[in-house]
Amino acid sequence: MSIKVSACPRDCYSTCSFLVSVNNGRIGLIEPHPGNRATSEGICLKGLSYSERVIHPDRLLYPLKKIGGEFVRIGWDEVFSIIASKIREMHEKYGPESILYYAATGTKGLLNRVGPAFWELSGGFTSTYGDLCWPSGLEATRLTLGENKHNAPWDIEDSGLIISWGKNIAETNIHQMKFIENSLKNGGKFVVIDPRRTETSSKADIHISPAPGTDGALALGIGNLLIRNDFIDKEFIKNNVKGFNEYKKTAGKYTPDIVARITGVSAEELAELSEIIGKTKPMTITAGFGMQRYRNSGQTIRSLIALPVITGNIGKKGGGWVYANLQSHIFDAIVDPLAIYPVNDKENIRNSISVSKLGEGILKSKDPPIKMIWVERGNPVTQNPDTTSVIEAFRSLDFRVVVDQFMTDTAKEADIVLPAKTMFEQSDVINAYWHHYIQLKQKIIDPPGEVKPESEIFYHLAMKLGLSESDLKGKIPPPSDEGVEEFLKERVADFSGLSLDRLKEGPLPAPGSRDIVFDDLIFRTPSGKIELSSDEAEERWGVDKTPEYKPPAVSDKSDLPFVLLSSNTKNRIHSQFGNLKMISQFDDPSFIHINPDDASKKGISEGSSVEVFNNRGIISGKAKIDFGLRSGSLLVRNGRWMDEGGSVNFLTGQIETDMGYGAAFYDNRADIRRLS
Amino acid sequence: MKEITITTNKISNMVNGHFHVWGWEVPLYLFLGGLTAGILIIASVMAFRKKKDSFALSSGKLSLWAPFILSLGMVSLFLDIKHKLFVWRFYTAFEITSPMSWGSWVLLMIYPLSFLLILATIRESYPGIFSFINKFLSFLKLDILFRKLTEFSEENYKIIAGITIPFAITLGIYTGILLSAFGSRPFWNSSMLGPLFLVSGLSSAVAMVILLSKEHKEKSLFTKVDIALLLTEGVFILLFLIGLATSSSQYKAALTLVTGGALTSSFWIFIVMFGLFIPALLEVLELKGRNINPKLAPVLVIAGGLFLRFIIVEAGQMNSWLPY
Amino acid sequence: MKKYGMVIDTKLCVGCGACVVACKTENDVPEGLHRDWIVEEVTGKFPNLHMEIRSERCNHCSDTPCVSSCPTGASHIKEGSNIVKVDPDKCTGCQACVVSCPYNARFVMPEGYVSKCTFCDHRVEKGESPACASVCPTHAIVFGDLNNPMSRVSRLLRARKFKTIIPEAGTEPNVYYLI
Repeated sequence: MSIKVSACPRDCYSTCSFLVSVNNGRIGLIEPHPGNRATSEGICLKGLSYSERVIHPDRLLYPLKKIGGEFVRIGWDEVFSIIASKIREMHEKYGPESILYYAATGTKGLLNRVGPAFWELSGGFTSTYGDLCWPSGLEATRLTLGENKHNAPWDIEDSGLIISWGKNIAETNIHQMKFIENSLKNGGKFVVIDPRRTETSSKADIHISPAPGTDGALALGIGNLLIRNDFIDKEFIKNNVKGFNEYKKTAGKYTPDIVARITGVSAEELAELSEIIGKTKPMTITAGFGMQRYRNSGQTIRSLIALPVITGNIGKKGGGWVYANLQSHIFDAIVDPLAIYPVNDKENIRNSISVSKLGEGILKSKDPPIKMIWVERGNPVTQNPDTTSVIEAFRSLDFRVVVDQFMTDTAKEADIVLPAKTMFEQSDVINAYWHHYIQLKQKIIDPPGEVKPESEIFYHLAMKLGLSESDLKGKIPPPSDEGVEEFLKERVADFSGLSLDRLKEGPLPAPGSRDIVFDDLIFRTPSGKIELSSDEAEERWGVDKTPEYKPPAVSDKSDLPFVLLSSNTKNRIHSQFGNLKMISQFDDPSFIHINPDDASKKGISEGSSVEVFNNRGIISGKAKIDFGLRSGSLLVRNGRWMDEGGSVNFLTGQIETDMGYGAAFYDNRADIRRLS
Repeated sequence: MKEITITTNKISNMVNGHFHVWGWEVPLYLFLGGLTAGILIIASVMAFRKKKDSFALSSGKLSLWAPFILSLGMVSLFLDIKHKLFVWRFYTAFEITSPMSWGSWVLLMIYPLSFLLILATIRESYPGIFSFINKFLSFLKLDILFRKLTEFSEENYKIIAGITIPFAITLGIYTGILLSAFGSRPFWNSSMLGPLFLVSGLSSAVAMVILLSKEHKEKSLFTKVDIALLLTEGVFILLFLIGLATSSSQYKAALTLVTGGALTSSFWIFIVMFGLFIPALLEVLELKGRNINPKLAPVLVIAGGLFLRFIIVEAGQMNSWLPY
Repeated sequence: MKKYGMVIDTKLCVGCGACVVACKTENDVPEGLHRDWIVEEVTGKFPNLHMEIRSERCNHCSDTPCVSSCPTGASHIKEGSNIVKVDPDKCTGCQACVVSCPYNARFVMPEGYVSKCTFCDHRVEKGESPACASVCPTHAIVFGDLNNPMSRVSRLLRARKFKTIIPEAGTEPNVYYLI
């Protein structure tokens, strides 16, 4: 048995460092690497289940081609020839931009750049813009503070007050819980603002439950009381904030009565909340992604950031705004969210389809229309809004290639399915968005069957298309471990303090990263100050300069009675992991959560077969009576597969958020009925 | 409100929402073990009867049933154990704290004792079988040993019977102690179960005699005995329930299983009503000369004994310290 | 003599399930069977509910009905410690121990013998923590020697309020829950 250093490349806050035990080529128990201070305690159950995932009997091990509706195993050489001739055909008939390259966030790593590099070399392609996850929050933060970075994860141990706003830390960022607990031991207070009672809120001193999508009004209401009761840091505001007076005017409209009417949070609760925020220093707000999945969400997040700003908590130890920490994104020339915005001036890349409107985007594409799609690291059929439309778009295409480890609902729609590597089968360098470590995800075992890492697939395709080694140099590594290592070494070489050899020992803090950020009071906004009033917000997104609250679409209760929430669980990363026995043994995704009062009105009891529906679609499942859910909302777990009752995105619309080109996944209503 | 959720699944010991690992095999084994004990006690006690009574069944033929019924019980137990190839491990250890270990060794003693008891009366009770075995063994040149063993048993009839009685009583009590030793199952955790199962086993054996005997005198004597045993059993059940009722909350909760809970009707109807009260009443009426089918009461007693084991084994598993 | 115990902080446990998966990986526990599990206990009246989350397993009790009820000595206490183990080669699968455990912590393996949590004694021998404690992302599970007054478990029990599960069952459990 040997122990290897690695790191988890999933799209997750924690991005844990691993010590992987390997026994005769089999992945065994994975334990935490003590060198990562953010995750030194342990690994989550998903990380632990890799031992099963790698050897799972359903893993795709060979290239497959769909013949007469059935997938048939074919050889690599044949599959490369088929794809290469299809690419040539597309180029001749419609032009290279008829090919859509769709890559999602299934795995992190520098080698992810090989895909776009290949398509550029091949002559051009169409790409997507926007992001399904978090961009309106990123944009709101960028507009306000200039950059997406925050204090080190452990910094909240020194907080007097931690507010978890719309974030179910216990499920989605387990490792943060320990720092919260340490803060509580030090006498800190913990407030959870979440429409649901969760494992996180059970640890809180105060739990506030606003109506879904009304967080902006709540934040403005708090801001109003903070200003009225003089709980603000005038000195800090004077020196560092642009647009305070405009903000004061906006917030002033949100009196406790109005806030209570909008959010359902009583005037007493609001007073208590603003008093604890005003009197406790330092204060950190750690915000989740859920509440920025409404149409009004960029403005919501901006109104949240205003609270640590006007109370002078920015740039302080134990204080601040914790949303995304991109200090480790050192390899990117342009950092998110700007990196995901449409660019039209780039040669050979047409960046014209929004990920939030993937179905519509494909179906309506022109000059040339999209005719071929290549999907990797993603499962758009179940994960992008409006599943029906995505499927329709998929089926309208001439040729579909999907690269995946398993036969996902997207792979099932493909003409060609190529087997993907797991994290243990190719080395890569990864960053994070909560802590600031750079880590090496090491190759530990050889890929099983005929699995080829994506970089090798692209290498061979490039050769088939007649490109030469010299064309690929520095862009696509040769198909060998040494080639990959050389590729990574070149990337890392630009940074002093980083080296592949040192990364093999464990995680390293990103060069230039700091535990406390903004303490230099440098804000990369147009004015150089924190912008509570932003001209760019108005110019770029057409919203008010101040974070004015706009009711989300879900607050219109005219047709359907329930707000549809689709939060993540600790058991999955979106649609990943649910197929493993280790996970499925205690993860029943078929559950549809409903408040007991609503359930009795609908004649639904625990375990009833139910259908959730709206004008877009229907999904089915079993009712779960959930005392922790607000009346008037339904909760369906994100990441369900078709055979688990259908993706929740059958019910979501192709709607963008007010800024950042995000998807307004939560801004949807639905109804539920019991099946006889 | 107290809502307990096992968010990660637990072990598969739960069936229909409660703990359940012992199915029909264990209660059947306990019943057959108790019946064997009862048969051997009767057969042994009859060794000391007055000479003038013949009592061909209870003093002679009955004992032959013992090894067969016991073996049936052992087969049932064997069906229940899960690591069957390792069954011999019962006999490589004696664990003083384990009723099951005591039981397996007592069973081992019961076989030779019951064989000696059979031999002591075989010449009279089963002359055909005796001569057949003699003939069969003569081929193997073992007939002399067999006759010697038979003579030895006949000569030491009372001594053998005297030794068998305590072993048979131990067996009968053991079938109850096996359950009552489990502190983790409040319904079982009562020292009344030992005597209760002993009396019940004895009464089933007596019922068997009533059922099979052809002598009026034997029948009426055993009917009287049975009435006394059924009365005793009734008192023991009452004491058992009082014991639960006067104990701590978990035991009171266990009691509710038969006082309103899931097993109430089966307990009172099948055990108390049809297993005790009605057969006792029928037997009294029969002794008073009423014309009642003589097979009805003993059949009810035997069925009642079987139900007693099934319902108590089930009840013990339905009430645990933890609801999960 | 070592008296191994676990101290599990219910304030830190978020019920993530890592302990369950780690145990299955480390000990090759077959599908559907579990040596440890997570209990969420909600008490109170809506909407004022209190939730307690516990990672539970064999309590490696000081008074062991499972060992005393075993007819063959298969269920035994590992020498020099209080770790309760089962020797598959001695086990008949009679399930007396399964029935005797008030915590329902024992189960029958597909092969027929009884199995349960061993506190990962194969790891403990090497000076490591049990797999569940080693991977707990919030460090809610602490393992150690209760007989050593300076061990982390002993110190936690001195400093914090704690409870055990159904102490009234009388088995003197050695898994403690900080409350």
